Amino acid sequence: MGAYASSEFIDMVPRSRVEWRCARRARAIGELDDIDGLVKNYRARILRFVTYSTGDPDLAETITQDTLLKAWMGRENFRGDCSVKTWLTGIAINVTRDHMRSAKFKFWRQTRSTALDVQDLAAFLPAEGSGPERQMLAREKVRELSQAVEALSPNQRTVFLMKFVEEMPVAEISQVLGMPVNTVRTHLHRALSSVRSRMGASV
Amino acid sequence: MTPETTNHLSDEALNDVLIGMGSSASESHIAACPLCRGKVEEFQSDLGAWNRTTLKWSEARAERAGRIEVRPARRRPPLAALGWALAAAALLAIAIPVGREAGMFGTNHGTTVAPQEDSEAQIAQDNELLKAVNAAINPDEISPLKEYDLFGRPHPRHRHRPQ
Repeated sequence: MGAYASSEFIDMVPRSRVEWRCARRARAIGELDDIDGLVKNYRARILRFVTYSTGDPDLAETITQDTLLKAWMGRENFRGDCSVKTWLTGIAINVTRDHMRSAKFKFWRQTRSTALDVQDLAAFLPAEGSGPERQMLAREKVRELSQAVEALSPNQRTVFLMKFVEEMPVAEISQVLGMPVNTVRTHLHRALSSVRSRMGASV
Repeated sequence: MTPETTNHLSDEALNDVLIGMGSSASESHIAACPLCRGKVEEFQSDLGAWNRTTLKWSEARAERAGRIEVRPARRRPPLAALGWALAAAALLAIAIPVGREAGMFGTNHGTTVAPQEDSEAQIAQDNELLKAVNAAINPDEISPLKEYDLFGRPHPRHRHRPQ
C-alpha cells in the first residue's frame, strides 16, 4: 500500500482535534489582523515581561513595539498550536535576545547603575481596601520581590517570568525556549530558591 | 499530629509545588500541614500583589507611549543585485571602447552605421567659429618676438658652434 494522500492522513487524525486547531488558528488570525486590538490586549503584558527581562523600561518599549509589529506582519506564520499570548512571548524573547546581543545595549547596560525604579513601581500597588500598615507592608514586599527578580540570572529570570507572570505551563516554556523540561525545572528551582531567600525565607 | 504534618516539605518539594509539579505526596502534605500551606499561600499572595502592581505600572507606561504606527514596508533593492548591476556597467564601460579600438564590433561587416559627412555649410560655420576663437585668444597685438625681430635669430648662448 502506498503512502497516504494528505486528505486520507488528515482523516486519520481525530476530526474534532483538527477542527479545534483550525478554529483556534482562524480566531487568532482574526485577532492578529487588528493591530489596534493587539496593542490594546497585549502591549502592557509584553512591556512588563520585557522590562523585567532587560531591566530597562525605555528599551522595553522599543522591543514591545518591535514585537507587536513583527507579530502583525508575520501573522500568517502563526500555526495556532499555542495561544496568541505564548506566541507573542516567544517573539518578544527573540527580539530581546537580538537587542541584548548588540554592542550598543552592552554599553548602556554597563553604564546604567539602576534599571527599574522600585519606588515608582510601589506607587502602583492597588489599594484593595487594606489599612495603611498593611499597604506599607505590601509595598515593601513588592519592592523586595522586584529586586529579587532583577537579581536573577537572565535564564532564571526568563523562566521565572514565563511561569509566574505569564502563567505558562512548564511544557510550554520548554517549547518556546527550546529547552528540555528538566532544564526549565532546574532554572525555576534555582530562581525560586533565590527569590525566596532574598525575601527573608519566610515564604 | 500525623507524620504528614511533623515532617515538613523540603525546599525542593516546596518549589515543585509552587511550580505546579508537586508530587501527590507533597500535595496531600500541603493539604494537611498549615505551616507548609501557609508558605505556599504567602508566596502566591506576594506574587499576586507584585503581578497586579507591575501590570498597573506597565499599563500606565504603555498608555503614555502612544499609538503604534504601522508603516508600509518599503522594498529596498537587494544589495547583491545592485552590486552585480554596477559591476556589469563598469565592465561594459571598459569593454566597449577597447572592443572598438580592436575592431571587434564588426565595422568591416557593414553592420555599423557610417558616420555622417558634414555638409559644406556646416564646415564653413565651424571654420568661422574657429577663427573667432583664434581672434579671441590671439589679440591683434604685435608679439615682442616679432617686434624685435627675435624670431629665427638664435640666442648667442644657444648658438651652435661649428664642429
